[in-house]
Amino acid sequence: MKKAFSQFVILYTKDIRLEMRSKETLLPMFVFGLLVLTIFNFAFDFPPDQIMSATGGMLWIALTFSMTLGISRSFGLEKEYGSLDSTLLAPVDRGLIFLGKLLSNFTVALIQEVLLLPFLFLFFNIPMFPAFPWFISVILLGTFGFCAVATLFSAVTLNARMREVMLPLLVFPIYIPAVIGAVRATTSIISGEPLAWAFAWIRLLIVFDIIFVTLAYLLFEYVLEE
Amino acid sequence: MKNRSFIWTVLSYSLLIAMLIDLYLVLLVAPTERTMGDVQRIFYFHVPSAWVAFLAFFTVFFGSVAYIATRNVRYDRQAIASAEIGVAFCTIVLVTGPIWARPVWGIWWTWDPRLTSTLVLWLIYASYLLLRGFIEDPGRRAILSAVVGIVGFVDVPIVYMSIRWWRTQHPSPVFAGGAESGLDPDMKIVFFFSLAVFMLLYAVLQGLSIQIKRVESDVVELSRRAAEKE
Repeated sequence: MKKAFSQFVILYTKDIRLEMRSKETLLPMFVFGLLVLTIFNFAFDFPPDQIMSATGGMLWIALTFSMTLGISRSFGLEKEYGSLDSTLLAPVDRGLIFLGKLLSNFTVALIQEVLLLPFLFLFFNIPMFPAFPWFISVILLGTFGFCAVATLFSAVTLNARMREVMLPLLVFPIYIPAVIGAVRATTSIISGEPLAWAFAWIRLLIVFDIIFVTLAYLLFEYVLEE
Repeated sequence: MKNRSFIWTVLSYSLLIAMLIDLYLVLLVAPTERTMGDVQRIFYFHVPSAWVAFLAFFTVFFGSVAYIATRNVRYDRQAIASAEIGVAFCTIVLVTGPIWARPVWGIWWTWDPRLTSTLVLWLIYASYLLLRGFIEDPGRRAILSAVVGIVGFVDVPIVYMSIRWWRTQHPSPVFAGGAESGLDPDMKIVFFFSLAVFMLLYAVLQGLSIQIKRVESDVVELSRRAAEKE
């Protein structure tokens, strides 16, 4: 157990260290997210009183699109330098490789969100609301579920042609239940509706996360075998 | 082998005859629905197609699990054959539905739970088919699409549940066709006959498709060996 944990820490810090040195994934994700928010502003020129009902949708489209962009690169470095084979040769459980990748993708996505969210509030003039911690928990749960599905499928599409195209095609249909939950919860929290409404959706997000993290963890072993 | 192809011939011809009988029953024998009129007859094709699609997607799941467990290429062929058939019948469902909805509901499409879930189902398995086209190595293709086949199928009930919640919070302008409540006995007979014909059609398509897949992989294998010899 202890050994597995230290292996996991090594796998995780390796990815994070590489990312923090180059910021190759983080910066494009952030700029793309900003771009999506800007385009939304032109696409729907909402009057100020209607903007609340659209924020959840805009936020989650910006987040899921930019995360897809980032996660499609998640095994990219390994493939370019052939280091995936060495990782696979190491006596490490495949599930741990998945968890390390999932958590490093999740970390990068969170940093991106910390940078991006202030712009959402700024661009659309959203006032502060009391249920802010619940808003954060929706963001965390939605992001984690997305990273789990996308990390699994980024490994699935690794050896496919057109893999940049295939990744979103596989991830988005699967993620639909969570996107419904995340958008509904976000919108209802931002517009100050009773919290009980948001809780139903938060429960859905928790169920989604548990099911797909477990499933991805179990199936990952077959995805990476050679 | 010869015996086997004889069975297929008999099966295919009896299917053809059954389909003609089904057309006759649906178009001429089944009573005309009082409020919807003749357009209701599309129900005899629409609902069985949906059943075939669901059954086919379940077979994809079964084939995927069985392939991962046994690595027998038979199950991979079962999965891909059913995925193709399932997407085809799901398309039929999505086309016949709006044709019925336009005169009855007054609109082609609405984001009602059942319609939305069917569309998502179509999207999941269309991506599954696309992925298969983009992986060259047969062994990798089988295992990776099995993973997608399992994840996709597990998602289906969650999709349905979440879309229902989404719609109950914001009621839709029309309700899903409530034709189920009290089907005329004559309609019932025609419906179940039609359902049986569609299931037979699925079985025949599935069997033939698996045979074609087997020949295809044989051809690939033979041409590989021929290339090696040269």
